[in-house]
Amino acid sequence: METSEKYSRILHFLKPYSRRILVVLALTVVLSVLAMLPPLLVQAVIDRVITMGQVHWLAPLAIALISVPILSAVMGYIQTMGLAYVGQRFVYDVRNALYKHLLALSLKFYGKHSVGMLVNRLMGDSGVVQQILTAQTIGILSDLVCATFAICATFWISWRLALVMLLIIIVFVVNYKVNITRIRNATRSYQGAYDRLSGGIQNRLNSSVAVKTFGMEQREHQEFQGTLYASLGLVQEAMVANNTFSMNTQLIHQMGHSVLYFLGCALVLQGQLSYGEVVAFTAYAVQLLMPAVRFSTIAKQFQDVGIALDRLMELFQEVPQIVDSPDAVEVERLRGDVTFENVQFWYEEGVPVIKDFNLEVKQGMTVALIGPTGCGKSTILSLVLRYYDVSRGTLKMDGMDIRTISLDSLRSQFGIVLQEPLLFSVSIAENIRYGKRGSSLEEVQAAARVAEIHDFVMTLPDGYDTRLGSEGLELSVGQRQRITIARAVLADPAILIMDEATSSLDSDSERAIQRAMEKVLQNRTSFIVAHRLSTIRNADVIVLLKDGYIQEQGKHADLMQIPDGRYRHLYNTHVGKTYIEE
Amino acid sequence: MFKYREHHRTVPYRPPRREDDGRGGSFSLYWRFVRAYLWPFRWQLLLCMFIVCINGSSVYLMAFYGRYVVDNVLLVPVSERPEMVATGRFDRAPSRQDERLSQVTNRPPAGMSRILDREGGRQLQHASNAGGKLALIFCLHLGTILLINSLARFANQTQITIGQNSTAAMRDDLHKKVLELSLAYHKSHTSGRLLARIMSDVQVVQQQMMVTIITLTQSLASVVVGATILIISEWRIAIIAFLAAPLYAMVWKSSREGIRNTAREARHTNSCMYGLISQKLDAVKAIQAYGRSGRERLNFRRLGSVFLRDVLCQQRQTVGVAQISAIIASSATMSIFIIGTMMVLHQSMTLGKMLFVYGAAANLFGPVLMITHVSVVFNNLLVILHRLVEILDEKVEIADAPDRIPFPKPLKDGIHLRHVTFAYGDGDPILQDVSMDVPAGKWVCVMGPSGCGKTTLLYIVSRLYEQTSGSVTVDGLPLDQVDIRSLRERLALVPQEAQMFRGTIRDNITYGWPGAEPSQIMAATKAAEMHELIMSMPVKYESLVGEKGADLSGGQRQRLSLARALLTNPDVLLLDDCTSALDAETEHRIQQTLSHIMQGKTALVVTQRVSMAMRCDYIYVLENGLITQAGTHEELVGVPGFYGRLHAQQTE
Repeated sequence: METSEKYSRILHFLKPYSRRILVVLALTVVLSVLAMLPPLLVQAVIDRVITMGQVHWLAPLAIALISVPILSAVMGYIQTMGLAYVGQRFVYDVRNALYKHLLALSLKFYGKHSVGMLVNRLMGDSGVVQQILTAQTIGILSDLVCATFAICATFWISWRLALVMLLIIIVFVVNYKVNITRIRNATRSYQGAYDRLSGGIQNRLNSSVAVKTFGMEQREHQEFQGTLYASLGLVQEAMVANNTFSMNTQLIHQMGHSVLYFLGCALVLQGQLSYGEVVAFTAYAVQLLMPAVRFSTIAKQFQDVGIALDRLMELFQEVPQIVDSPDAVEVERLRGDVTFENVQFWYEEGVPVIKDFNLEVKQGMTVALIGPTGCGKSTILSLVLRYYDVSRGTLKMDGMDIRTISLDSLRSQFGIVLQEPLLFSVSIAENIRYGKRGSSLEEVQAAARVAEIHDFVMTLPDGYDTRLGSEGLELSVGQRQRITIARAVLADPAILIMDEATSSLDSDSERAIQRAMEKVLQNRTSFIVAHRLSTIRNADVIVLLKDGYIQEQGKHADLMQIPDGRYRHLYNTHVGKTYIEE
Repeated sequence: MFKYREHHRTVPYRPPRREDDGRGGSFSLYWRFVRAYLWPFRWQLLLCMFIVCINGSSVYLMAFYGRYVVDNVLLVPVSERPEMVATGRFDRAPSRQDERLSQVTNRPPAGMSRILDREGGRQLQHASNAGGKLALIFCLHLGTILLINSLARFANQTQITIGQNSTAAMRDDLHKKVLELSLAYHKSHTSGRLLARIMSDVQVVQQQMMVTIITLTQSLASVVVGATILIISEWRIAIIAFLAAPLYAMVWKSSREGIRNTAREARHTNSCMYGLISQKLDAVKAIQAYGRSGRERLNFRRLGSVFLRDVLCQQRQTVGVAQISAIIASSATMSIFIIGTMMVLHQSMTLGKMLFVYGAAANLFGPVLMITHVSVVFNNLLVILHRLVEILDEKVEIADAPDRIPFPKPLKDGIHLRHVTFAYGDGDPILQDVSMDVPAGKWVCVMGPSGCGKTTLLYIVSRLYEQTSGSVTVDGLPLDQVDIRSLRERLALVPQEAQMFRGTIRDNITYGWPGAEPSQIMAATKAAEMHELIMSMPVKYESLVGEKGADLSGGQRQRLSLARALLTNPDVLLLDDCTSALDAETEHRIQQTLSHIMQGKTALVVTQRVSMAMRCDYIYVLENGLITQAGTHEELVGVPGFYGRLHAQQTE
């Protein structure tokens, strides 16, 4: 994307506020001019009133001296608040747009990007762009106005002094340029040391069991001390570099001021200047020095905004792969017939994951998908959920091509129970209710009973209000699965998608889940990536996959009839176990 | 002044902010930290304080140079009878304040000079040898600047050194303490929170301790010197400054609480947004699966608009206060300037003095504000100090007894638990009245549903937790009298969740014994069925693994952690269901190897698999913290109960 295009796209977010922005800009110009007036007024008092005795000037000048700051304070308030409003609205709009965009992106995208990174872009980068587009731009504008005014004023008062002042500004900027690289390098190296330091601490604390079982506290602490005292030197170096710079700046500033003042006084001695003019001149000179440094940092600021903008735009540019077709239909409730016709699927052209898959599932049937890891079982589930579109062939629901059904209405047809159960850090009741909004607590409890989790929930002090997640209760895998089962029960979906847990559950959870499953599966089309032998035996269709092909397909009894069948072999090696191992 | 505006906050996922509990601690807490971390640098610190006092008052010296120039060198004229100015010539009456001025007569106003020059030229009159005096003062002025600047440079460098050294010392102490604290403490305090204490809290403490000491000194010096100068030079003008400066400070102070409140609310909303986003994006699969993106967008929008309001509210308060105090300050200084001007016109003050007083008064506002600000900084500081002290004063539960005895070698009798009970704090007991024997050279198995206290039991035996009551003995010795180092050397625990360190695979395996020979490492990895896998990696044992072992699967991590324990060749092995993520075949092979190499050694094994239990000499069943069954496999298999059920299920 071209730079100009990026900017125009992001500036588009500012468009609704263009009138406010204009007002703010106008106010900024007025404010900058107002800020430049007091030195002139002070000069006028000294020269006209005090020296020349034109006392009739005193009253108007006094009124001006007092009212100018008040006026600029009031206008400053309006300007700052206007700016804050525009800036915050901008962030709000950008974030909303980006969040909406992110939610529409496919799981493939989420596989590639860590959530932490996305959060940082959503929260951090939008803030950076806002700051620079609003606050900094205003700052630059005001600096420009001030600088122009101050330069004109100084040259008007005394062009000779003004030339000296320009020399001082050059020294000022040189000092900045010389030091800034040093400071940046030092800062970077100490930040690196800090990262290592905190990374080490985090690692140690997360592995406290290992540290303690091997009694390695002392060694770990010595290692910490090593990094700590190594970083100490780097930090000091950076801070000293910073100190040198700021002390130099201060020195140049004060000495420049002094030189200008005394030169001015010398000119007064020669009768070339009045004292009031000297006072005004030095006041303007001070106001010129700071913008001079700020101007030299503008390039860096634009670099920052460029980086942040790049990162935002990168996300905006991701095209959601699964979108509603323009003539998508809303479906009320599907019966649950699912047909795969010659379905092929690949992530990358030429590397098919699913090859020529044909399957007809009638309403209420349970389909057990089995096969080794990577054979395409989960891919089939993803296709049914339309996380991905089929690459070739068609996938039909109730006879309709899945791509003609609107996404939201399609997906509200499913109940999902996965291996890593998708729970949110809210209360148990809220988690179950995620299946069907607005259901009453009674309905939630009824669903929990079906999922055999009710009794457990009732043993908790807070019952259904118990918060889950990192700050709340940690549940076992079996308990988490049963909560998602309860969610599915409550939602009463047309189609159930399930990925059975492989890892060992304790026997109580095991049986509870089994019973819960039986109840949920009744009269509901279900696709199950199955590991549990009992599930497999009871399925209406067993699909044995290998490398994306259907190797064998049929009921348990039928498949066991095949003399040298893969299924028969697999089943016989696992007789007596709960699970099929992959 | 600006009331904090309450707004509607019933937004999903934006829980109310927890109020700070208000424990500020006291001055003694502050003093304790000063004693501990700043006392070694007290002389340097005193020197710094002295220097900043000088620097704080140097402004007035600078202003005084200006006054001298105006009144004694340039002799900027002041019109006595204003209306006569037009004639361009007047006499100036002798002034009481400055006798020398009286010598100067017939001077035209400087401001008119150019006009006058143009009109026919008339040389200005200044003090005798004005150029020389000006040059002299210029040199003095530059000299003062250089001196002050180098003093400040030196003081800053010293502050940096003091600050950084005390930071390092604080971090050192905290880190040491945190490592010493027991595992129970680590379980209840997340690593992120402890990290924040060690890194950012310490940083803030150091900065704010410096601020309270240095800035307070500087501001006090500046105010005291400034006020004295003002009173001495012109008390009438001083009154204006003395009235306005406290008013100015009060405006800030009165609204500060409100501003801080709003700022905290805004930060809280901000972190809620972070939380919401990361949670939702983590579960994007569920959101898409249930077709709920519209709903989620609405939630996000709501929270976003709360944030918007929070930030704008905060801005409104801050900007409002800033502008009002700006008005107070500028009105006061400008009044002083105008009144001063009138006094100059009435000959009761020289122009130079007027400008000096005006400068001094304007300079008072900053330091006064700083002084009121220090009290806030101090309160903040105490809150953070309190948090640090909580760590530093936490009792180390598990420490060596003074009369410690090394772990018996060889183990003769075994490990015995008698009536062991364990609970976190005042919570419900995790283990109740557990008695069990682990005879030397035998394998003992513990089974039970998840959450029944098996892991806690292992932690107690390895003395990572201290039992609440009851006793654990090793060959008759109480466990808490055994030297911890020797205990850790002789006893190895393989946790269920394998923990990885950033570094190579070799580093991770040799963690318990860094000096191990390659052949020994290989023996350990072979026993853990890990060797072949490692050899299939491009750089083999030198492959890097991340902190969470992201590149290894759960099963691989478990095997690596087993190899790590086996390498130390322990006498007692504690296995916490450490093969749960392995496939049946590998698990079987590992069980076989283990029973081979651990022959004659003592083991306490927690497992879910009957196949593993059958290899053990004795089996305990733990349910809800109580031992419900105990016996050999043969004794338990026919009896109704947990073991029998599990056996039936796994061999059905």
